[in-house]
Amino acid sequence: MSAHHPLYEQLVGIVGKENVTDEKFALWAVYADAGIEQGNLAGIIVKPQTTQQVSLIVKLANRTKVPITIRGGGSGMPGGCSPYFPGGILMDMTDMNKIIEINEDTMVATAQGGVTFGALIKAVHEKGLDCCYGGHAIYSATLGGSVATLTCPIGAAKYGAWGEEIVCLEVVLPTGDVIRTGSDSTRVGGRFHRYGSGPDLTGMFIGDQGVLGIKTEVSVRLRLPPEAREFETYCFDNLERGTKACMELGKTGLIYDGLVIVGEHSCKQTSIKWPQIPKESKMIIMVSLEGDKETIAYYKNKLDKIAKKWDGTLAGPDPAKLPTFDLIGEHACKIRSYGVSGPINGFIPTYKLPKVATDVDQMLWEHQDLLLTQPDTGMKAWLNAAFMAKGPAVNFACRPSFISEPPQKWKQALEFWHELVNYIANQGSCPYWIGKAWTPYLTPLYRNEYYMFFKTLKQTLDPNNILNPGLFLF
Amino acid sequence: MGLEKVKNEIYRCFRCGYCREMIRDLTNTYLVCPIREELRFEHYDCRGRIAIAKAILEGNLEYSDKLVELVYMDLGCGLCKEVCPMFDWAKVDFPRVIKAWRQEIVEKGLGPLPVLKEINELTEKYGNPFGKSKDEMIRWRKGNPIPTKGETLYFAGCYASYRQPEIAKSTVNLLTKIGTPFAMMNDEQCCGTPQIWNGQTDLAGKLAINNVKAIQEAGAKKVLTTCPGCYLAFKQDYPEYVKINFEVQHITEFLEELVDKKSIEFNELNKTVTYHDPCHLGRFARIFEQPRKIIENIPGVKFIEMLRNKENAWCCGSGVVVAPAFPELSFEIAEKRIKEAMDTGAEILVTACPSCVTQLDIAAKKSKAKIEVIDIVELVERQIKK
Repeated sequence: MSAHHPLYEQLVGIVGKENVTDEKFALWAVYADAGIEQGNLAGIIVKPQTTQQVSLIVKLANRTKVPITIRGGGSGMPGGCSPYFPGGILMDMTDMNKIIEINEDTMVATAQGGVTFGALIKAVHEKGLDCCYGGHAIYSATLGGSVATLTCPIGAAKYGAWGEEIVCLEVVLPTGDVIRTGSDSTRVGGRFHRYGSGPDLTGMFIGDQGVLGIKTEVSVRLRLPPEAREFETYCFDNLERGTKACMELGKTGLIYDGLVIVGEHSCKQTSIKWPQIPKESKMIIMVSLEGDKETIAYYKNKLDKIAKKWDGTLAGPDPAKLPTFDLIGEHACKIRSYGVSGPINGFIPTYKLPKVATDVDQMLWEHQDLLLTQPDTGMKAWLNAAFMAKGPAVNFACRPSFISEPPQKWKQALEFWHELVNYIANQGSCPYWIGKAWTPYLTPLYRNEYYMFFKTLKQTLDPNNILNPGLFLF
Repeated sequence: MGLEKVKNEIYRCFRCGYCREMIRDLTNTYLVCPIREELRFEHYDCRGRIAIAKAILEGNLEYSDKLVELVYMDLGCGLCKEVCPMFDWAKVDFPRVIKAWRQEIVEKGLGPLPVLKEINELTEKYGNPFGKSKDEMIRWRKGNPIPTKGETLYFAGCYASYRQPEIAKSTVNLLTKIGTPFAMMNDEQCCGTPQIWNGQTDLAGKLAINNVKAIQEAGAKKVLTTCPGCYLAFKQDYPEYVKINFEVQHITEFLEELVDKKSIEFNELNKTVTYHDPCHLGRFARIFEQPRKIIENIPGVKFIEMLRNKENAWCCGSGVVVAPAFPELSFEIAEKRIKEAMDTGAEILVTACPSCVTQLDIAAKKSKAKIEVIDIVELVERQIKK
């Protein structure tokens, strides 16, 4: 029998034998996430059940200077939860799966970091409440992972990015110390509010890709479900005028969730599925609205006026029902049916949409020999943008389906994928799924002072560079 | 062959993780992989196993005894395929992968596991996995001679013949009561399902050829089964080995037709009943509504679904190879299913599979659950008006 990992016995001492493995096949099972970036093989997997165990593992890693890669649902796409370097500890958080509290007085739900969105939604719905949730694999993504990588949830047009939903966190710092943020930072506060009692340290951990701390408890906002949700679709034959409509809509705050199909090819392909969408469309705006019937009627009227001001034509509610509301995650997954999809996501100001979309569209069609054709729609790639609240910005996404064989073509496809990431990064995009995929492109773009501050922060909190080393080139 | 044969399935998985854990009340999906829920690590679920298979295919990982054991520690229940979010034509068919994987292991001489090897040897020698004599198969028929040739043939299968003869007896009584002429073979052999699932496909092929030949010699135009394993073997696996020129029906399909034609009537049963979908009958053969229709046609029955039902039903834990190879794990899963049945308040847990009946009945007794576990033919035979 081969020798165990050097930390095997000590990790068993912390979490028990049944929660540690260094079997080689087990390491291969977690070598990657849902993206196309390949990971490295960890040396040992540990599954903590409690915050105290997480803390002890981190302290052990510090003493022995063995790096830890933190893995939630493993359903993200940037390669953030698979080891950057081989041989370390992979901390599988999925046994931290208890919903701690659904507080109807404070309208805050608190759960361990390994709870999936699926489990949270069920628990929240059972109480007759609602919450934001998101990610391309909604039901298997974990709360802790989604705090670290951020996501663009359903309802982002109204409520903003997933980070906006986070109230308080419990975080195990890279030294093993445990802190609580927001209103829970004081001994008397409890979990009800994000701001006050000092700086917004909750925000510091949102989108940190796990380099600053391990999210062991997450408190999120709850809300009452709306009386109704309705859908509408508008088509534009001019990308610039469609973008103007998006900008105006973004400023009004009318929309609950909104998806924009961008560019000639994506629109044409979408029109195959929905014949009511004119083939010559250059942009399709699909929205959902929520509220009581009266509010929705008012919103619809305003929406119609704005769309028509910019020459939009109505294409009915049906197309909007698929990509919005509860089905967005599945829709994103279904795209994967056609090939190896490497979606590239990032926030951009809405006004940049025509240029970025046109350039990306052009790049995709110049490389169409590397893309798979979707048999039912003829689609090769899909460009879309999602409305984001709090400013005229969108979450731009490029979703190509690459061919994976022969190996030479796959190599070319991967190179092209990196080319796309590099291009989008250089357009001023703010990516949130950063991981290994964006690190080499994003980090050089940071202002020197910001990067040095971030690096100093990391070094201060994590002097031994234990947590997720390699990300952000730390 | 082996993994190479299912390479497309392996490379199609993009690791979204729905097969690791999915809770979605909109579709009644409450967790996915019974083995993963018991043992917790990623290598026990479909996504993790697919990643391991890929590592083997790409030459990054060698087989070890523990890895072989892992490959056999899978129920093949198919819920992972059910929740795979891709279009139907692109869903990752993990049960297909696991069958091919076990076949590769056998071809390489690394498997099957000893207990399964013993089952194969017994099957080869005696024609059934329990090593029982043919006399034992027909012992319960004594005093009730059944023709051995006829257009409708009841293929009882090994579980109903040797482990749950009440199911075979009920079927025979039922067919007699409703006046359907039928035959049964005296030399029925195992359908080969254990071998299809444990990788010994050469033996499965031999059994398929022998059974089809015997069925044809019996003059059967229609084969009725009470075992979803046999049913699925005939319908989906046999065509790989031999041409079939007879119709195959599960007893629930047959009975549903009679219910539709109002050819059978039932006595009242004032009991609360729930139904467990056998994986091979439900998810694999898409027979969901027929058994429910039959049960709900019994006057007085209060039918209550379990939390996880139809496409999302939780496996009984038997999984063809898991019960003999990992009995403890297998019964832990079964006990959870029994608890779910108890949560409905049901007094009777009906299923349509002799293997599920065996598994769930033992689990019910082990957990001291006050619930009767019976096969649907037993229920129908008990309630049918004479």
